Amino acid sequence: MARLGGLDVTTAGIVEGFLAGQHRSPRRGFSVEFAEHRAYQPGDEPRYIDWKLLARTDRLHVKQYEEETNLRAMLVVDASASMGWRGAPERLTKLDYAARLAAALGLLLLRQRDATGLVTFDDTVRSITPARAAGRHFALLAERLAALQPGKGTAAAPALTQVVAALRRRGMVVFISDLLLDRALTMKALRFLRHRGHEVLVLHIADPGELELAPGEETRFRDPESGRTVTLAPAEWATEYRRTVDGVVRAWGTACRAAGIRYVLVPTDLPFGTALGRALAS
Amino acid sequence: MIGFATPWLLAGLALVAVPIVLHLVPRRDPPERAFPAMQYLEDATRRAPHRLHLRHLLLLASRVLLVVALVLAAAGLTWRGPVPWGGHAPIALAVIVDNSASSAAVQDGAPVLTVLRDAAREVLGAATPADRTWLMLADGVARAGTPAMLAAQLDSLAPRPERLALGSAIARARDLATASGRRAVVVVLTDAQQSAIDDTREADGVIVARVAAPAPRNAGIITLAPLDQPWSSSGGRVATDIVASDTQAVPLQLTLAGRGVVREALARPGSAALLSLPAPVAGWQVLHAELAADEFRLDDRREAAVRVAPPPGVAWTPGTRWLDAAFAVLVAEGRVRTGQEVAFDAIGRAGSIVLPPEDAARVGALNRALLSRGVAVQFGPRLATPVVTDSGALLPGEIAVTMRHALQLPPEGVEVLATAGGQPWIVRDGTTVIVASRVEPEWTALPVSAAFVPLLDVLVRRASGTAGALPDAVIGTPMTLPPLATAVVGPTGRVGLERGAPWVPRAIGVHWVLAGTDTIAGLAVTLDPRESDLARADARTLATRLPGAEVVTTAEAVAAMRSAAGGGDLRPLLLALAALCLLLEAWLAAPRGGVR
Repeated sequence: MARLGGLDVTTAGIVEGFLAGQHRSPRRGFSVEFAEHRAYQPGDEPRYIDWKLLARTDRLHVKQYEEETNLRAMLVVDASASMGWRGAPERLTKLDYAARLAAALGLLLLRQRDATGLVTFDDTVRSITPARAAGRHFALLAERLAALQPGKGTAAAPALTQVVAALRRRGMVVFISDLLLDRALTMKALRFLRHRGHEVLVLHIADPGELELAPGEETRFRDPESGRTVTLAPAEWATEYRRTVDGVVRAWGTACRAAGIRYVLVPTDLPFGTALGRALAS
Repeated sequence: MIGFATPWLLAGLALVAVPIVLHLVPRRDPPERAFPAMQYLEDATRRAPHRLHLRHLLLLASRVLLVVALVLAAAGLTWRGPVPWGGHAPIALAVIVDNSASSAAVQDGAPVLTVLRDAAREVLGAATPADRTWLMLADGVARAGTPAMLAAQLDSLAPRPERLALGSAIARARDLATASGRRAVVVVLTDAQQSAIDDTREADGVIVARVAAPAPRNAGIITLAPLDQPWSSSGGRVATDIVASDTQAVPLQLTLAGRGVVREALARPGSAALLSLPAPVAGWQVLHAELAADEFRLDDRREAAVRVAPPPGVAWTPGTRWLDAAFAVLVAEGRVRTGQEVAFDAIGRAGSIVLPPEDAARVGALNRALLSRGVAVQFGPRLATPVVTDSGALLPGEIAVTMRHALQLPPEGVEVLATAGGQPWIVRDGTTVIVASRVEPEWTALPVSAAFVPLLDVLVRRASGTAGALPDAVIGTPMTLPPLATAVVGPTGRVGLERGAPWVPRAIGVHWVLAGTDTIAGLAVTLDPRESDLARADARTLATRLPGAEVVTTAEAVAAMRSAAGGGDLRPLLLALAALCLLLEAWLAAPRGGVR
């Protein structure tokens, strides 16, 4: 438990709180389906021997079952350097916020017996956790999320391509990022996912300090990923910056809608319950 | 078209460099801050560089304009033409009201001074409380005050008998106004009496507002001189002189105090008249002369002091041809008689006329006798250097002096009656008259000159203490009174004198000079005779005599003053502009506009 840094507890609280406001059973669509036969090997439990097949073929086969969920979901979390930023000390970094949000979504999905996986990336794919529906899978997800540290640059397209390989069947992809990346390239990858029949949800994590420039004296702003700097007086550019951010948010929303992708802007000062509600709104 | 009240403040325009330098000089190294949304910043700055540049330029322009507007306002920028909001930049305004005697002349039923005073009120009314203002009158004193205070002083303004020398008054007023550092405006309100403009003075920036109407007709007494004083019991003669605008004879009435009207005559202007009068009672008397009233009353009346006394008795030693002849004439004229009141060429019990001894060896004895008599004057060494007498009241011409004694005088208390070669030649100490040369042709040409008999008459009168009145004094002109004088009593009362200090007469009329309780002399204080000539200078003459001056009429004085004040005061406009710049600067520097 300590290894998870309390993320699982926090997440459970978030999810319980969220579910308390829902009116649907999280256990709908539960079933177990036969997957394939496999030749019996010593050590296999006798209860899984297909006796009918033995009678017909006189060979020992065991039934192999696959726990089937009604959804296979993949959480794709951006762990680039930019995600490690926060505009005020009293707020979580975007990465911490994204981790908690991803964990809450994962727990929610797992409680629904939906197989849930995790992909984290920065300038490359850092980890892939295959989707599993087992209840104990959450511990693995939570462990991976708790261990997330801000990385280097951002390269979402390879991570999303990896998701395609990980989700062979139609499923759900939750892309959690500050979207400080190449929009065209990212949208191309998202559209591809959508083309493959996946439901795609983009959660745009943004610190309020990114949405509006806080007033203050002239400052040299440095990009933690690229190291580029811009020197300006925030007060002078507040309006233009706000206009630019609005344009970016609008552009992401428009592009996503055009591709049948749900897009949600999630400021990091937004309560998690609200954020979950927006994310899971139909 | 534009001007400045205090142009030296334009040096403040150098402050314009402050916002420019702040704009151009790179600022300090700003603090660095990690910010991941760099592409948003780059997009924002890429999208609106021109707008920001324009805003910075506007900010710079507003700050520069703010400084310029404030500096120009401080320098008192003015526009030559009128401005809708009225007023003018602060100026230094000196108003000269010529309330000299001639301003008492009545014109169109009212004194000229009334016209000048009304015009002065209008000029002061056009001044603002921010102006520095002075009021100068005929007494030459510049009174400082607010326009309202000075206008209040005009209420009690009356003609003064003093004469105002316009040129020097203008020069003083210009110096005063110019010294304030502001735009100097001098407004002269005058009847433009020709005789008051006695010299040519630079008058740049001076507005001369004159009474345009021609001067009223006037006849005035400029001379009333009782001759050959003291008068004897048989009376005396009076010389009169009348000045008038024309040559028409005017009736003159002479009155002696205590005797009523003693003589009426027709006096013809321009020619002196000699009138004989009957003898009044002995002592000091006041003689009045009066003309028929006209538009200028101040010179229609005149007074003179007359001494009436019996002829003094003189003791002299006959045998000197020149002296005998002179005394014979004086006796025949009734000016002196033979007696013991005045000893000639000797030290007598009463008055004495002392000459140096022929024998130089007796000088010491004579000096000792003078000292024992209480006379501090001493004969010095005999001088044989030929000199001539200096022109003076007693001896108008030059008389050759071949031989004389140097006279040694005490520091004070001795009246010098005549000088020769710049040194005292005839002096008086009390009733002792001392002559430095003997009245003989070997010593001086005096006995053979025409001045001898009148001089002898005067010396006898001085020695006998029956001298006539002192020469007339002109009001306002300092004069030296006899050394023994301690006070002067006149129409305005008694004035004590510091010994040796000049006395400035302040009232017209007869004044009595006192030594303690004794009246030792009388004199008449009169108007300056030039005041009787009311002729006015025309605009061309004024422009010639006062080069650079703007000559207008009294009705045009205010307009000319406003024009000379530099026209419209642009400070309200500049301050409004500064406020606008401040608002623009605040708007541009606001969070939406930015502060650099």
